[in-house]
Amino acid sequence: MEIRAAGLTKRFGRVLAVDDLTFSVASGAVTGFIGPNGAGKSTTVRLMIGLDRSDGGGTTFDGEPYRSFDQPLRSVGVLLDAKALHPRRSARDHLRAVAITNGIAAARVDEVLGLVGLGDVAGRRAGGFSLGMGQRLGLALALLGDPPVLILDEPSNGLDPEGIVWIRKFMRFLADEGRTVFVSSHILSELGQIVDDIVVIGKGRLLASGTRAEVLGDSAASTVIVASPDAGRLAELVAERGGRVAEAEGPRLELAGIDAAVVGEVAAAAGIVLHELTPHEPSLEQAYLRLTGDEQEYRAPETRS
Amino acid sequence: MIGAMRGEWLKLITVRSPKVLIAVALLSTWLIAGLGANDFEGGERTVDLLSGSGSLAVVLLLILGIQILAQEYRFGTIRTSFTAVPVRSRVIGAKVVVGAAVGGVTGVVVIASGALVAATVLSSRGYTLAVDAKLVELVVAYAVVCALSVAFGIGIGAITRNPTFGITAVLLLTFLVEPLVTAFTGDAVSRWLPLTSSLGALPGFSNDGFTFTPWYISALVFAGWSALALVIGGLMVERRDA
Repeated sequence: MEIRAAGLTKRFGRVLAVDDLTFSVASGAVTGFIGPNGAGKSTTVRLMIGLDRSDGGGTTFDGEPYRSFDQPLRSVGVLLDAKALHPRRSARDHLRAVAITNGIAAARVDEVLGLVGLGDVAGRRAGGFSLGMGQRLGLALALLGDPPVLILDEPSNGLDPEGIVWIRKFMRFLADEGRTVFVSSHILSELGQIVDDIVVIGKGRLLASGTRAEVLGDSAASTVIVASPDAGRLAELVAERGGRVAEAEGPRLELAGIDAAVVGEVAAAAGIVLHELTPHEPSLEQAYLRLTGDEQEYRAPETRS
Repeated sequence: MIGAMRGEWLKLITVRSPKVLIAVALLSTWLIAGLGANDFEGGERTVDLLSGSGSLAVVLLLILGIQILAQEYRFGTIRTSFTAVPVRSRVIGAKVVVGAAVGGVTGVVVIASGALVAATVLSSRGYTLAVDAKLVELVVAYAVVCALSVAFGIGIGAITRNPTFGITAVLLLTFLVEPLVTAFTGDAVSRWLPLTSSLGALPGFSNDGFTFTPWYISALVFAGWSALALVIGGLMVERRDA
């Protein structure tokens, strides 16, 4: 199921929170919806499913607006605010009351609670839940109707590092099953390597969208950090094998377009001593900051060094 | 719509506050009916001592109505409700049907059990509670007024979207606005007011020229207020961001 948002616009008083936003989300992929805090991500998500009334534009799911679904949870699963719970209602009752509106069997409630690791606390009042548990319950709610589309707004909020890794793997798993996963985050690295496509917004406007490589460019590719007393000669040999020096700082080089293993082989063959050889994950944050640099709504003034 | 109604029913029975409100409604009615029976001196109809015994229950059910909608805004669960059922009028409609049904049944139970308490106290003092058409009429009136009271509360909840504001508004209306209007304009105007009409629809409670007779004219006036609150509240919910 494909999502298309066209010309989404939302105004809060004099503030244009979402400004003529157009993008599409492919199925079977994880699409990261990235932007600084206050960029309009949550508002966009609420506009997409009709919770916020739009001042223009609309969103369709395989051509249909959200409102037209008779049992929407079977088509689109949404994780919004994890703390939106009646504190005295148990996790199971919370899900049961929602499931029944979409004709979803009660057995599915316990199934999804188990899936997100809340099976043991299903009967406990949601008021005593931590933010992370609330987040898991929100995810269970999104999964309730086994929907082909999942829209997750900041799902890692309040999760511990273990939880963040878990949700990342889980999203990848869902996309590999052929589902459409649209996930917002203000921290790109939180999504890590699982993102296939990226939509970047700032101050409610679209800054970039496309595949990960298209959006992040060179900085999305992995590099190799190497340190050697003979860095100059190593750089020449690396160039012969198709690599290049992205950055040089004394004996330390950041090499692009070449694998760490190849660098090791080249150095060994030439008898060059290495003090460090590290594969370096893409510096997504830097690319992201470059894109959103002028768009941060709330930012500390530059400090002089 | 059936699914939405079943969801609303589950929401209602899985939290404590509706049970507390209904319990207080029952206890207050039993107390007032028992005290009334205890003071009964003969000469009047026994049904009259019951007429107003559930008046607090009517107000408590109004508060239940406010909570049914406004609590969802307070806790943010309204977004979940509108995500599951995107046609908002369907959510409100389901709340009204379920809430009014609960209100109607509660009204019957409240006044019937109040009658039982009164009958027990009366018989201990050598009197008998007359079980006649007047008593049946009273039970029917309570069913209608209590059902409408929940519906009116849901309308107020939709307008205020905040339980504290909603309940405060109703208390101001009950104890300040309507008494003041009555003081300055007299019965001709006051019997058209929402809470005066709701209590006026309890036969025998305040029928001394205060309100319309027969009781169901007052009930119709109150139904009009309930419908108005629901239409205004429904439009506001429809237009605003959830």
